[in-house]
Order: sequence, then C-alpha cells, then structure tokens
Amino acid sequence: MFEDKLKQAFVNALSIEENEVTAELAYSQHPKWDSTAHMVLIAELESSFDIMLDTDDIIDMSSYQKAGEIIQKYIA
Amino acid sequence: MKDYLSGYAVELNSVSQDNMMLLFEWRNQPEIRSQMVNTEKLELAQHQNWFAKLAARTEQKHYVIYYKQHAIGSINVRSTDGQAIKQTREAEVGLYIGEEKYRNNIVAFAPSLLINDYLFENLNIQQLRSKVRSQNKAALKYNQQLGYQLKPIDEDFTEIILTADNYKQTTQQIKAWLSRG
Repeated sequence: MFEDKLKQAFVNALSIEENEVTAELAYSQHPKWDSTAHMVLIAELESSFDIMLDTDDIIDMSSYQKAGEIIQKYIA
Repeated sequence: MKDYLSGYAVELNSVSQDNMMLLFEWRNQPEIRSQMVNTEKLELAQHQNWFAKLAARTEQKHYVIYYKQHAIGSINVRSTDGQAIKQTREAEVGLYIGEEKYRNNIVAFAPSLLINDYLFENLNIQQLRSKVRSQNKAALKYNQQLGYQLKPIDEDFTEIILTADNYKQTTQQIKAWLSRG
C-alpha cells in the first residue's frame, strides 16, 4: 500500500512510467527529475501522504529510496 | 554589505584567509570553470592577489556557503556599474556549488534566496542582471525558478534579469520549504 502510493506520487510528479520508478531512481540521474520536477514531487508527496516535511528532509530527498525512508518517519 | 548572513538552512560567511583556498579549488574544477564567462584556469598567485585586494572593494562581495557547518560552494554579488553595492541600483549575483553532492539539490537555492532577500529588502537594488552560458541549461532553469527572465544575447550567452516583483512572486513556495526548520 505504502509502496504503491509512493510510486504513484513519483509517477504523477515526474511524469514517468511506473516501471521507471525503481530504488535506483535519483534526483538528476533521470532526465525528468530536475529541479522543477523536484518541487512538484515535494508538493505531491506532502499531499499524497498528508504530511509536512521538515526542511532538512526536503533537502535530503535525493532518491526514491531515500524518499521512502523519510516518509516512513512521518507516518509511523 | 554584511559579512555574515543566515537563513533557509544555510549560512554565508564572507571569504576570509581561512576559507579562501576553497574558492581556488572549486573555481578550478573543470565542470565549474567551463561554465564561467572566463573559462581559464586560475593560478594560485592570481587568486592570492585577488584575495589581498578583496577587503577594500565595495563594489563586490564574496561569500562561502555553509550547510550544516560544511562548506559547499560560493556566492558573490557585484554592482553592474562599479558603484558600491550599498549605493547601486543594479547588481549581478554569481553562484557555484563546489561540493558535487549538493549541486543537484534543492539546498542550492538557499544561498540565492538569502542574498536576493538582502539585496531587495535591505539595499537599493532594483534589479539583478547577469550573463549565463546558453548551453548551461541547468543554470538557466535554476534562475528561472528564482523568477529571472531570459533574454538570449547570442549563441553563447543569455542575459538573465530579475526584478523584486518577479522574485517575490516566483519564490514563495521554495522559501516556505526551506524555512520550516
């Protein structure tokens, strides 16, 4: 459930296919995850999980895997 | 202009004897040097000479950017007309992130937000204007996200211009994200 929701947030925010959302997906490594898309992603994640991320976590959110780890802290 | 500014999760410290060598190392990294207007490699003597005269200069100010007490890059302000920054109405801001880890990271916006706030809110600056290499798409996009308008000059360079109004309108969300603590 969590994984599906997280994956869908990435698909929506970065406008990429679901099969592109892997543990290796990282900021600036995928052509569509640029600085503009990153801001859309932060907004999408906050909205999807109904959370408000701290600044340090927004800064640390540099990969799909890291995003999962960070969001788990907020919903645990 | 102040020697120390802090906000948006970063601190800016005026370039000093203690950190001036970081600028020399970063500035000569090929990926940074290639995006400069002057792409030539700096010699140490040139850099030391530049630093020796820096304290007396009122038309430019250079800072080292710190995130969590770690130096990550440099930002500078220069008046475009040679007047002191305190008096001029137009300036240019230059930035580079020396630490690769932070180059493609939202924290790279923080030093620009901090400097721009100070210039627009505390000094007489009416607009910021710089020249960026047209091939440096990441820098152009970065500056657009700060509210800069782009005006291509020729195939090599694009002029970028930022007014206080455009800056305020464009950066509300990113400022909020970087101010939560």
